[in-house]
Amino acid sequence: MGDALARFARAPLSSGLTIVILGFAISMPLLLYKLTESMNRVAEKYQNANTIVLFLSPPEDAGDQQAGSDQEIRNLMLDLLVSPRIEDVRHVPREQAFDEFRRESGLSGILDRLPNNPLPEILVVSTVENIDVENTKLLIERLKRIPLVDSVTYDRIWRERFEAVASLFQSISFVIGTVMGLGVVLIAGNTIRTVVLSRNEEVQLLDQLGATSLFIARPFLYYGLIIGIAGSLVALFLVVICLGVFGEPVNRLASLYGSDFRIQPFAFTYWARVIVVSGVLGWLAAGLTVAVYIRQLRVSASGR
Amino acid sequence: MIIFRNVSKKYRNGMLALKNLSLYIPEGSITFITGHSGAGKTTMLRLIALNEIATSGQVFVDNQDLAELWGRGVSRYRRNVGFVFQEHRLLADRTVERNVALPLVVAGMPEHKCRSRVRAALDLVSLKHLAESYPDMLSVGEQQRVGIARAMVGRPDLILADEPTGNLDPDLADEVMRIFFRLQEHETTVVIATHDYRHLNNPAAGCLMLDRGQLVVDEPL
Repeated sequence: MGDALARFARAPLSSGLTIVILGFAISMPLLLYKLTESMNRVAEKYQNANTIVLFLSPPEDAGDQQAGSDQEIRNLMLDLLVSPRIEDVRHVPREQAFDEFRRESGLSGILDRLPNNPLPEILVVSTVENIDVENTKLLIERLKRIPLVDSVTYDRIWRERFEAVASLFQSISFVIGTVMGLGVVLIAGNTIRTVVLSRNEEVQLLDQLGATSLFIARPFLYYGLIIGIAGSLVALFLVVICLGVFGEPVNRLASLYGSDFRIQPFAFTYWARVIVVSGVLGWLAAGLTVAVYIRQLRVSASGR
Repeated sequence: MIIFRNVSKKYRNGMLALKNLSLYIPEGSITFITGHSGAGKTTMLRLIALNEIATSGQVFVDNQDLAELWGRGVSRYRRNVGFVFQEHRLLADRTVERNVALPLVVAGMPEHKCRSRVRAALDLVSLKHLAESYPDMLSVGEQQRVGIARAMVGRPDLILADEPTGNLDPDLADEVMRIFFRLQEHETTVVIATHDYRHLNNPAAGCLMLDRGQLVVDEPL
């Protein structure tokens, strides 16, 4: 390890530059991962939001009478509960909906001046857990055909769209992560090759003295490990800065659109994982580079 | 004991360095290999050192066919062979002591335990007082003697030296050769490639003369 640190100290500029480049290469997939993870959290929050909202025909359509009598609504609820696709049905009376809206909207002054309650009766239908998209669509079509139902809204559609975007980000993150991982191996490998070439005489001498490949490679493996870990620390530093700069504005923007989307800071275990993986990649790059070099050295020397 | 049996070595460029060479070098002897440039002296040493393999024929060292060695077997074999190079090949960023200790470190001996062995080897070449010096602080002759100390520190059964006096003035060359003859006391087999004819008449040493890859003189000990 001391030898590896000495090599580092001998060429601080090139080693430092390599570490910074590695840091940039590692930070990009980390940022994408962070974005994807935050989106997934939002999606998970609404994982059980399999609710379909039925707005019954508004009062205007039924004259001054409430759309459907309580008896009709009860009958409709019983009919719906018979369906194997439906788990539960909850009735939200229009008075209750009006009170809630008045309380939560802050428009009580205006709403109080209305001659009558404009809101319809609402039925909140919860589908069974394991219902798939096709069956949900079929159910929605059937619900729309019920005479008493004026319109239908389905929370899951936007969630699916959101999940699709999150999934896209996840795929992009995976591809970029893989490419950058390969990039880390190549960048570290190239730097280590330069270091090996600068120690060509020593490598050849050690080989001549009977050193095993592992013995020859060991200081370079440590060197690879060091630049891998150092690169990951630079990457984490960059990520922290990026989250600090962009995180708060993104969160504020999401809030303005009424979204729960929040960019969360990295957990310590994740930091540890990034450091370990980067170190292993650096070590791997060193191992491959030195193994190839020693093999070339021995083949060209012996003519085997 | 080294045996060459009908050994030929042809390089990729078509040059035939050794032609059907057969010879025997007894255990514990000092043997000079001589001949003009291109005679095949270095190729012969490289075959024994396993830096090359024969195109045809067999090379045996202590009854081991070298062509059968591979991977870690080569490393193990080389740890029992000391090398003295014409150009010394000392590592400039290490002290004399650490340079000499290299074969022991490679063999897995902790560096602090190597100290007494290294000091003894340096004592044999009269360089104990320069143990903490760096190679570029030494004269050419001293550097060569450090190279010899490095070759013998691991107490190998075989020492190979390729033109060890090539860069030295006659007095220094004689001194270096005296060191090699001192190694005979340790029953080490020493093979020296040289075209310094002054040393070839030594009755304590055998002499093999090569010419264009073939053995023309074989004067065993």
